[in-house]
Amino acid sequence: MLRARSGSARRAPPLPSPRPVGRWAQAAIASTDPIVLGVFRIGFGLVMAASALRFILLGWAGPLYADPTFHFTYPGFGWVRPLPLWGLYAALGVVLVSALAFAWGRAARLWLAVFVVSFTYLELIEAATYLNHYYFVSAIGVLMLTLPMGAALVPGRANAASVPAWTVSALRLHVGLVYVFAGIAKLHADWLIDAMPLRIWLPARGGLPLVGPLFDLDWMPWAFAWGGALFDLTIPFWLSVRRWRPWAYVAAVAFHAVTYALFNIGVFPFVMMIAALVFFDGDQWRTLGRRLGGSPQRPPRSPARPSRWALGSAVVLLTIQLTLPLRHWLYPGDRLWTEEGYRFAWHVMVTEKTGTTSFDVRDPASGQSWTVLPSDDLTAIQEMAMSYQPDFIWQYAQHIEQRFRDAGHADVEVRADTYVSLNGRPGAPLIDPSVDLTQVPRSIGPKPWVLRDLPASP
Amino acid sequence: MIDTIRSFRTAIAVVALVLGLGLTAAACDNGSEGPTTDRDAVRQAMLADLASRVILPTHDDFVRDADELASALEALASSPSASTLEAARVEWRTTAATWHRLSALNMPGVRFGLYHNRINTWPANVEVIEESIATTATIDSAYVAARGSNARGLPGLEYLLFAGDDALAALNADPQRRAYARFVAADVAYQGRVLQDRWVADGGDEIGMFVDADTEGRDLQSSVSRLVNEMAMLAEDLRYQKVGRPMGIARNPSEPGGDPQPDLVEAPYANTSIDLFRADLAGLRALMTGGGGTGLDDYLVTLEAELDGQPLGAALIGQIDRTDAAAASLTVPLRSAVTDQRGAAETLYEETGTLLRLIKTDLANWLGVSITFSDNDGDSR
Repeated sequence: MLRARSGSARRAPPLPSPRPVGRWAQAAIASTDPIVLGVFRIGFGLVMAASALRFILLGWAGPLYADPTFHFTYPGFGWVRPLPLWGLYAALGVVLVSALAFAWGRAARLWLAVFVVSFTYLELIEAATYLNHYYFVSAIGVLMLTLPMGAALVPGRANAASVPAWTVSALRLHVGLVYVFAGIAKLHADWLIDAMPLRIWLPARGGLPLVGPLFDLDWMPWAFAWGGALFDLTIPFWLSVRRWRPWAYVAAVAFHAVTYALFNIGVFPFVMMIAALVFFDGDQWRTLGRRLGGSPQRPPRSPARPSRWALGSAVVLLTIQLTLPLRHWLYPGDRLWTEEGYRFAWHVMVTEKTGTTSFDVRDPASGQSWTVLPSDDLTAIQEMAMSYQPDFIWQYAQHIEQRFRDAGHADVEVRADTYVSLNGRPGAPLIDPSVDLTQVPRSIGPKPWVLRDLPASP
Repeated sequence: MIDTIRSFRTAIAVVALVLGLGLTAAACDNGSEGPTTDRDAVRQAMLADLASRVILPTHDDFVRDADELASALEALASSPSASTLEAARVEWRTTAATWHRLSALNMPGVRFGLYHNRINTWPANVEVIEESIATTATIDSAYVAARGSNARGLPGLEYLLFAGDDALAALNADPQRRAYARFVAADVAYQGRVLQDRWVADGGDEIGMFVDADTEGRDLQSSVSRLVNEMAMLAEDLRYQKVGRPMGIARNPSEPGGDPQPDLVEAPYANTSIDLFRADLAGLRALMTGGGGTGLDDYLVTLEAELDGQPLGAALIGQIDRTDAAAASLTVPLRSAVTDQRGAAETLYEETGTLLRLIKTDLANWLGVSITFSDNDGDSR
């Protein structure tokens, strides 16, 4: 567990430690300054409120959630359906208000629960709009439900004397594992050896003033690739070392600012800039507060009262987060190509993938055949996402079968004609064109109908 | 503690500096003032050549041809005869072919103006056309302009000039029909000038925006992104709408699947669907080659984009040529070929499919272009 050596944690009364495991127990119930949680709560709430407001102002609820006549879903969440457009905007309003209320801090757990439910509901409506940072928001939101997020910096209320040190460590671990797993995902030949997809993305930014020519240098994609991997893999550790923390945070802000300027990654850089603040300890926040003219309270001195259910829940959640990104090792083939184990695993910015997919439909009873184009009833974003993701292709094949059944064709065969390019490789079929997708079950296991031979890299 | 305070102050100063630089770079993103690298120079040269060698000249050609078509229809309306009808038909074929070289240029700024719809919505709705003719009202420019897009434009005019056993007799018999044909042609010429005005620098300056929107691929205003999206849409249209549907490759369960549908060819009355198909391909080829200047193929070379050992641009042009050859190999009109030359028609369908895949998948991948005109919240999936 990543745990910063905060001054307040060191002040906690020592516990008897007759056995080695006692050190962990001691760490779990040691106390620390709640201000860290307070700062994180405010930053998170404000960024998410801004994100919700942006979503509303850009009018995305219609094109992303209300307009599609068919929705891709996550396993186990097929029952989640979109509200009418007014309901979707109401849900976005709930996200906005609950994020602000959470930042304010009164009844923090209640407002956080409202936020997590409303935000996650919106994300579950349409799996084709999956983004890592949306998932991060939901995941860390659930984790925060187990933590005393309203313990400090609540207007009109005194800060709690202390909180268990593990609460802060849990947040730091969650933020840290996002970076580390994103770094591990980059330990891939495409990224390190071929500098893909940066060789595609960086030249496109050659027109930027001042820095543009740098992106056009032949070696620059490799510099970005290795530098990016090194950053992701090590930044949590630099942020954990008190002496290096300010500089590490500067590096993190610079890194995210560059990614924001260069790539179309929405609010992700800002979410991570705020999230990385969790590594600062109470002393540092209080020092900053004094420099800004505040009069922070004295550091806490009393021991924290541990909550077993909270600790247990956090351990379960973090265990899931530590194992889920590793599941792609259980699947044969390259997950960048097969997409098996790709989501919920912090594979951030490691693929440039495009595809052309249509479906051949045949009615064995009548001998009639059709070619279904996804563009006829999917939105452009849905079609793009579906064209290279096997589980979406399977879902859409089932939808086609239902459409034809509704039109009087009782039992049609549906086969996918796919052509997919990954990171500059020549396009190739992704799905076995001989397989009738209506005859294969939905499964989270390896899909035998996915063609796993990855074309040679460019 | 003093060290911590100093570290904080320094760190905050550096953060401010970095953010300032980042935001400056982002803010300047829309104000590119000139090429900064060789690759950047090629991209800008490509956009400039596409503008000056392809987009503007082709629109000029269309306006010229449409004016001549309108003149031919005036002659036909005032003095209907076999020769004036044939002259009008020749002008229609020429104008329609020129129009199809513009098919891939219906970019968002233009599309929202519905200019292409008013000139070439197909198939024409013959019932509405006949209802429009069977009126006691005076048929003039205003009357035609008030009709729906599928009752005028080039397809509407094609119906009036080519449909039926004896189009000349029908025109001779009904002055309203002649007037309608004449003013539809005039409307096509007028809409062509309106479209041209939308593009030119001293009009809507769509061309200036096309050349200046040089952010390429990152956002949806990028000219390259718009261009590739339009090329992909056209290739999909060529495969499924213009070849597939007449072959009987139905897309909807309510349609019979598998039976040839010859009447669904483009230009079913003039029987020029293959000529128009090849004109569409010529438009795609011009975008790839820059009309003899710097084209997409040259820009792809700077990106070192390859496909199976050859430059991707060359592979794409080669595929356009193979598709064109497959189209040229049909010795009868497409409406007959879908049954009489089935093998050749299927070859054309497959070659068009390969072209579609190369554009929509390989080309888009190397350019980092999303095949979508919708915005989204990022690409950090």
